[in-house]
Amino acid sequence: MRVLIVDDEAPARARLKQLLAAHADVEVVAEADTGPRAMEAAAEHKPDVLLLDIQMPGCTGIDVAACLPAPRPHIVFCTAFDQHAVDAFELHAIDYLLKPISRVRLAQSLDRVRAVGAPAAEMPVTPRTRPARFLARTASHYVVVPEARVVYFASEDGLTKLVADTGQFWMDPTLNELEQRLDAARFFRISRAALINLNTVAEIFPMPGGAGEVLLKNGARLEVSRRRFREMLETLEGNAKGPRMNTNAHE
Amino acid sequence: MTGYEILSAASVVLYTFGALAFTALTILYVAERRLIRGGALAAFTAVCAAAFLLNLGRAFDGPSWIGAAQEGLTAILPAILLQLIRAEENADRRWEFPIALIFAAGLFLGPAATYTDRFDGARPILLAAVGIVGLAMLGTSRGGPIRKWNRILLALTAACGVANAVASEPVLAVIPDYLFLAFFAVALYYQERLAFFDVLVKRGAYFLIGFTILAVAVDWRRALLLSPLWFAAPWLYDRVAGAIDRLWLGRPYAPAEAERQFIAEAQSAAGERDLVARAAESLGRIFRTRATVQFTDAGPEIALDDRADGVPFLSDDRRLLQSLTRTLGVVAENVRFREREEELRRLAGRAELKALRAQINPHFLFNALNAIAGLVHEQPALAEETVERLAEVFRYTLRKSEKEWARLEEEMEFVAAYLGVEQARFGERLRVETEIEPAARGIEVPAMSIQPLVENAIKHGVSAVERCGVVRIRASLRDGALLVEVEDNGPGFTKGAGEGHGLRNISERLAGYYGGAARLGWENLEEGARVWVEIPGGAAYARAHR
Repeated sequence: MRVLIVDDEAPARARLKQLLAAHADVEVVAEADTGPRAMEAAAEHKPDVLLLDIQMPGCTGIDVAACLPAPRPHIVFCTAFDQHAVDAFELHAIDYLLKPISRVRLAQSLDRVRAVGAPAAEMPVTPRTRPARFLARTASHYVVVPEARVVYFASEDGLTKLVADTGQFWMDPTLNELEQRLDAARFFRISRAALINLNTVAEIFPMPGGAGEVLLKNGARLEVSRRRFREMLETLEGNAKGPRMNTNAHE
Repeated sequence: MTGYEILSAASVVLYTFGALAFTALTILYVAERRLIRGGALAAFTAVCAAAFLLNLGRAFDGPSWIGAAQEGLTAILPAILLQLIRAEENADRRWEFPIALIFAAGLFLGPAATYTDRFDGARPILLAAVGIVGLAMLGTSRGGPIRKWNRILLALTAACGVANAVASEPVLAVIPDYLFLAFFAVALYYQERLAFFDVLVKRGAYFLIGFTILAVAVDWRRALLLSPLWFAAPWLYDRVAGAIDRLWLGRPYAPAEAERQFIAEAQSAAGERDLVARAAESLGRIFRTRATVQFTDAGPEIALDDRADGVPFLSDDRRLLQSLTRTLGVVAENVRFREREEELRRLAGRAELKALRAQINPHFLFNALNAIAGLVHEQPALAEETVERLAEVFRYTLRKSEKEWARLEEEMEFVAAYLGVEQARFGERLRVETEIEPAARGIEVPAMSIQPLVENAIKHGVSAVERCGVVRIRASLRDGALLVEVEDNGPGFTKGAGEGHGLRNISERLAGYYGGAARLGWENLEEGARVWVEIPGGAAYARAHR
């Protein structure tokens, strides 16, 4: 069993290593002290299990778990306090360990991983309402993008592109997965190819036939499918602070 | 009317009032079995009542034994009076010996006066002796107003005794009677103020009015004879009215009884809804019909159905209903108050628990324990040190939760212990710089008011950045006020973060100790954030201005 340890505190990582040393079938393939480094290590080593701290600088373990590429490793969260338990189980963590971590509890978690076997390819998710951060790739490394910075997600060549006001990045979760996971009041799927942050909508252009276009704050102009257009307007009205409607401007 | 006639007429009035008042008081004491101060006041009251009654009998030329009995009683009064004062003053028991002598002399002189006038000269002497013994018993020490009045009266008694022994004036002979009444009024006023006003002032005024009316209408002697009837009139009216209510109008309770009954039944209600039910039930019994109660913004409202037997509601019923509505308002207020009090008590308990929990963040404890477990094998010395720091943190928390103030120095040691634990967790990622002005060390601050600032800096600064986190703590004195600043190099406050839990807690605590005089502020720096508190003049200031 290949394990990746993610914790920003060195003594906490040391503790896990000591405890894991007692298990002959466990190999610690890497350690990471931040979310982005955890993403890199996960991509490089393809571990079976992530022992994942929740509170870390930059982004949380929850964010890491949500952005992991498929096939996703099993996730065992390790944290000092159980206020995150609900979030953790929404992300289908296989277990949840409380610090200080006990030898017996860790052994039980490993047993559980052994019993389940290979990680699932699909990531089943449930929507959440708390703002999230996204771990996305540049050419060389991973960065953390807070939800508010995201303008839209787009599907391109089988990959997911994250367009933020700070630049463009690539992510592993599909648009379908992201749509399920994100709060529908803030992120809206305007077509098969795009999922936009509704807060960045600047103008809306209805087009003959029921479809339309949105102009986003970064200047991008995206097509809204006929099926989604009406629903998008309703959602925006529901948000009560919808953008200015532009009904006469046609290109 | 000569001066003598006026005097004797006034005396008769006084005797009548004294007889009535003291009889009432005696009955009151016996009924309530209140034998205060070793029973001296009760005994005095009883003897006074008897003496005044007998005096009255004498004024109307009653049989000769009345005069003898009156003389006897009047003669022992001074001794009882002295005993009363001794009891009031808690004077030494040794004084009971001269009092007993005076008592024995009174016992002898009283009856003797009936048979011979040989000892007449002894009575003023006895009176003078009472005054002197009393004054001696009170001594020279200062005391409350009761002692001052007693001194004046005892001096007058002594003077009166001497005057009587020297000259034989009828005016002088009557004065002792008034003096005893004055003694009694003083004792009653200072010891049983309610009885004083109820029995003496109110009844006295009532008696005077009745007596004046009767004296104008008939002559004053008959007025005196009729005065007991005057006194009994209210009581008589209550009885007659009650009897008519019960027998003729079929009311189960007289108004006063109904009021008592209603309060007794409604008062124990557990809440407003229970009160409505209980009040309706009680009112139904009182008015013999179905009653509905509801509370509106204007107060309680009571509605009564017509009676099944057709007996109409009379003016007394209406008056009672109004009175009970008011009573219900008061009872409801009481019930609500009790409810609120219980609620507050529950909340207070929870707040205490919360405060206790807030002092040490559980996150901190569990992370610290986890770090220690990780350090034990590889860096046992650091692990050991961290355990010690952790113990220091908890010792301080436990000790200070009872004591509200700490010198800045102590608080900073606590902060250092706390930072020591955090240092073990973060290692090189945490750097702490502390700068405390020596003059500020002794200033007293609310215990655990600095540590949350540091905890805040770690939480939002150090643990939020990947590079090395720096916490700078500075304490200085400015115009006598203590300024503590904590800086971090984290991402700074985002909008509304100042409302953050930890800082708001401190802000509220400071407001509790200092009102508006202590301030908590924060600002974003070029890199990181700065939080500061300004505490005016330490604990002494807060104590003086609380």
